[in-house]
Amino acid sequence: MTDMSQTDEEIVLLIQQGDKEKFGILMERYDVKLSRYGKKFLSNNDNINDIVQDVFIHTFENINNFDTSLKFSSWIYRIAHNAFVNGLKKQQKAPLLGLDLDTLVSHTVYEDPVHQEKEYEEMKRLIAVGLDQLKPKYKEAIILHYLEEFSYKEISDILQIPTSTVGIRVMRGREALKKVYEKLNIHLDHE
Amino acid sequence: MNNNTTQNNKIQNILEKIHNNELTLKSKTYFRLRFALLIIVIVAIVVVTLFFLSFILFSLRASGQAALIGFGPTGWQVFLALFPWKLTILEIVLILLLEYLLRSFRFGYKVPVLYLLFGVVLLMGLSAIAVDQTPLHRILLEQADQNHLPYPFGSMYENTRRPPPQGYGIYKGTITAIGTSTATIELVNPMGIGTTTQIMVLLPASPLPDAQTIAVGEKVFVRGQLVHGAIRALEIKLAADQLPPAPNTS
Repeated sequence: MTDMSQTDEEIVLLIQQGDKEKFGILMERYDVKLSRYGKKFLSNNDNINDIVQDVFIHTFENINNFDTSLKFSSWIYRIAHNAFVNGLKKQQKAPLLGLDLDTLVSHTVYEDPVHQEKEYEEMKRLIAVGLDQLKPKYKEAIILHYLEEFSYKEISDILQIPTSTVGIRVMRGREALKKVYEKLNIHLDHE
Repeated sequence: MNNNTTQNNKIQNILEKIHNNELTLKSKTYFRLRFALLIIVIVAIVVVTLFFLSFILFSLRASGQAALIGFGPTGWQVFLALFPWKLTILEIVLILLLEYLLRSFRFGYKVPVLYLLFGVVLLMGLSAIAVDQTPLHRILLEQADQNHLPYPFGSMYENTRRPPPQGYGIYKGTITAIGTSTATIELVNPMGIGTTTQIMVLLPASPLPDAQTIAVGEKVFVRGQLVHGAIRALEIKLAADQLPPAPNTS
């Protein structure tokens, strides 16, 4: 059923023009990705499945609100992100994200393509070890950048925060992960 | 049931609902109307914000309250007591609401919070200064004087003529006569808006910059002590009051 010759945005345009059945292609493309993304927030598979279903329904109902000149992946991840954060709020009583000082002013950050590939491999290894020990705001930036492989600009649209804030969160999350890793190494060495 | 089967079921289930029209798309008109409503709300907030912010500037400028600061700590106290705090708090709430609504736009969340807030405050401030240069508030004050403005706008405009509160030793009045060591002033609104009382002022022994320039007909703030029906003035400042006299002046 998946037709890889068409972009997400082209498919959305067809759905907006009335070919509603094409939504199946988008669901197939994003089902595994969104479920994997949800697992980083929630542990219960049934919950994740229900939330992903709700995300698809919400996406379909509101698809006429999507501007096809933008990236569909950022849009559906934005919907999914909100849904998973709400799901997590139900599990945890404490508020996840309040006013974040990182979003108040601009920071100078850039993505360095030269170091990116090496860094991606290293980060994926580190993420497996210490992701759950990160603050939620750093955790979501790290997941979106290193696991879901979104650019800072795309993450900015998903989380609706300035691009410079994304850069700061990724950088701080990366440093925090390295510290966790170092601590674990020390601990293991002593054992 | 394994994960793949669950996922396939989920997709099939949704597709079935779409096919049976149990799931429908919200129309483009719905989103256009929602967007238009958002724009209307934002424009309304901008208009209300500009109106009140320019009124605050008008009330400070036209009442000459800024001159009170020249009296030092006591002057500051009176200035702050006369300052329209309720409107200022309302302004802060409106500006924060405006910032929140602007953040729902792409250009809004792409900009750091403080920069957007600074931009909104700067834009509103400059626009309010421009509105203050128009005769809008003076016309509305005249309407208020003729009781043509509904509550609470009528009393809001009348409050621009509030006299300094009692107990601070600062009085506001119009000079009706001036001699070498005394002057007579007509206290502005001492017993409520529209009332006046003639009172003698014993001028300060050492001439003050403002005391040298005061003339009959000018409005002044006098800092001093009320003794036996006369004010022994310590300092006099021109009020630079541009407000027309209140109606029903006795």
